[in-house]
Amino acid sequence: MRSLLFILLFIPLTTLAQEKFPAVTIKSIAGKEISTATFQDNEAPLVISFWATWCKPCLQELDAFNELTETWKKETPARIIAISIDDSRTAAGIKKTAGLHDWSFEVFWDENQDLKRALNISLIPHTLVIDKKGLIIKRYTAYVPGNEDKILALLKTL
Amino acid sequence: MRVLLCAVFLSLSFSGYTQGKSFFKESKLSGSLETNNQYYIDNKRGNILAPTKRFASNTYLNANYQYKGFRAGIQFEGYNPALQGFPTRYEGNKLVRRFIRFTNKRIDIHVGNFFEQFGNGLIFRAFEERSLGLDNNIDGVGIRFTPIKSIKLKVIAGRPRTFMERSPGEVMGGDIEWSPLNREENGKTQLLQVGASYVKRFMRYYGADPNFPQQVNAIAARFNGEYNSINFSGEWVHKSIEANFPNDFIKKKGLILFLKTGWQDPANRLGLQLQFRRLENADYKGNFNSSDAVASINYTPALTRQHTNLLANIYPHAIQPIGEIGGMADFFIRFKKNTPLGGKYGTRLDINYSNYHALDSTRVTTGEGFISKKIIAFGKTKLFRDFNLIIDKRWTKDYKTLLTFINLFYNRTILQGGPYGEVRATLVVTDHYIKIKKNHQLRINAEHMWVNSDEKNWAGLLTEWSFPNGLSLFVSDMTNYQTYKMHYYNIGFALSKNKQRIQLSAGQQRAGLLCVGGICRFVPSYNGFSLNYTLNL
Repeated sequence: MRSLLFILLFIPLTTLAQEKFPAVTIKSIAGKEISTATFQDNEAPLVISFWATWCKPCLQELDAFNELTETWKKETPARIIAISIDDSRTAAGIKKTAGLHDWSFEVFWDENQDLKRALNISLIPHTLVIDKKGLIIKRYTAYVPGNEDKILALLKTL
Repeated sequence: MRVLLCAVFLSLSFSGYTQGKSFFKESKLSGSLETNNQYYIDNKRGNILAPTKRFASNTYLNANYQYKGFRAGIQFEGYNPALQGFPTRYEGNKLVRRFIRFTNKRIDIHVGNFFEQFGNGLIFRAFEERSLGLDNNIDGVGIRFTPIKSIKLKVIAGRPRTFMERSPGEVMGGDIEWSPLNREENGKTQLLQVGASYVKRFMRYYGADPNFPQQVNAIAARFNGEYNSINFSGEWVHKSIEANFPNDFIKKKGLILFLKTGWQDPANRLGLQLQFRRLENADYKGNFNSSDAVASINYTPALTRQHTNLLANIYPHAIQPIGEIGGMADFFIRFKKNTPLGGKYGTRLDINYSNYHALDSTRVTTGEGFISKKIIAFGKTKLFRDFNLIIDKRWTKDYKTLLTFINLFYNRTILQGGPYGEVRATLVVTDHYIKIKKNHQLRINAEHMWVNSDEKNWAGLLTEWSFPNGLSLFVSDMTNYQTYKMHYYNIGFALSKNKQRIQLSAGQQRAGLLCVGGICRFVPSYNGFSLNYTLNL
């Protein structure tokens, strides 16, 4: 009961601050460590999509992003980054899936889901739109066709 | 301790108000809520009776705070009671995780509950998988130290979580990784990493056996690399004698050998991945009395394709940590657009094969239970085999299909435990994605599985309509139309809006192995309603 009381007191505070994208160490597909702090260059907004090789809606969303890459490039400097949460069971499939789908954006690996946890993500696909200052402007907690158009419209305003 | 940590979070949060805008610029306050609720009703025709408590609920509430390199967080969980299929030892409401963490360029110190992994997780992995009720976070101290760019050290000490409590076993360990080669030029990667780990578990034994191994030591060595288009990695784990409930308390050393290699065309037209793994007394328990995967401190998932169809998961591979040998091969080829096989939009072909046997071993009457002299030798007992291929083809701008063929062998006697025999199944799945109008999508998934034994043939159908406002309507049914003629149906909707998602459904769940993220647990059948809600704050 005491624990619940503390949390109920704490949760409302979270609504008062705009969320910053955290700096967490993740990996390249090959296994090289990289900090997510390096994603931000203060010049381009980011679209960060969490996915896994076994998640069909995730693949559908990333394919939709991939098909629109050329259009997006003309309209926004935004970078698209796909972060896999596959564990060692399916991790060998990350490079394969990115190759099979011929994705033109960068793909990284959140090996033990440290970044997913830091962002309080429960389910995937989960997509974040982040402004040039590193603030999370929007979260998409599922993929429905058309999300890519909404994201592009939002990116144009950033 | 708990009160102290909560007080720190609150005081830091309130101090934020007094320090003005600059504090908020550097601060991050966030949280999440996930609640999964079910209401059970009887289905007398299917002989499925609701439990005494008809309502069950699993709730997870997180709050995290970050100020520059400082982070703190708490997680509250409530099981009132736990959903059907979850271990009943998940019960009540409790603050199950609280931590403080400080990170800078060289050091990362974690005090409280934390997650960590050494290498591939074969010797140590603390992780959370809510859908299976798995959370073996360590309550103690974890340190990551990077003295120079090419060397990384990790040290952990504490007790793993077991259900709502801490394991009586203590875990300590360390890991070092050295990267002598780390180059990336013109899209080509040249990487070499070598590493070593040590993990000790100590748990006091109060029985009559004077030689019971209270302390278990495990060591591991590994490599990982990529040279242009070729990747390779491997890990070897040796564990001193461990006796535990799942291995019937035999006193046996443990061994894990894992090898992986692959090649992928730089233009992504084709690629091949090969994996091999051998397990021998491989389950490393945080609590030697526990029969559940919850208490493991290492991670040895099934290296098979993770199927996402309705019927294929009726027969998933359940790894045999006591002894198993096998591997998986993955091959893909991408036919380019405007070629005879690619057509206007291109075609993707994805082929996967996995095969696992028991070890080539001999039973002995000594305490170690069995011996297996040859490292690379397949035993006569087949456990699991899965050959599958997926053809992914877009026909028009508005219509795409996935055709899946699966042929599998499943040794039900060993994998589920009991005199069930062997299962051979062939499955065909067609997935259709149809764009009805702008941002309206209809998905139809039709499946049929031919099975030589057990419940015989199955058929399955799923339809889902997605609307641009974030709403999805779905209805599915799977039925074993030759034997029990039971329908396992599910109908409902999901709505996603900004940081929230709600899903309501009614249906009947089949009893069987539920496998997510490579770990399986047996879930009972139930009939009723399900309400899931997630919120990010």
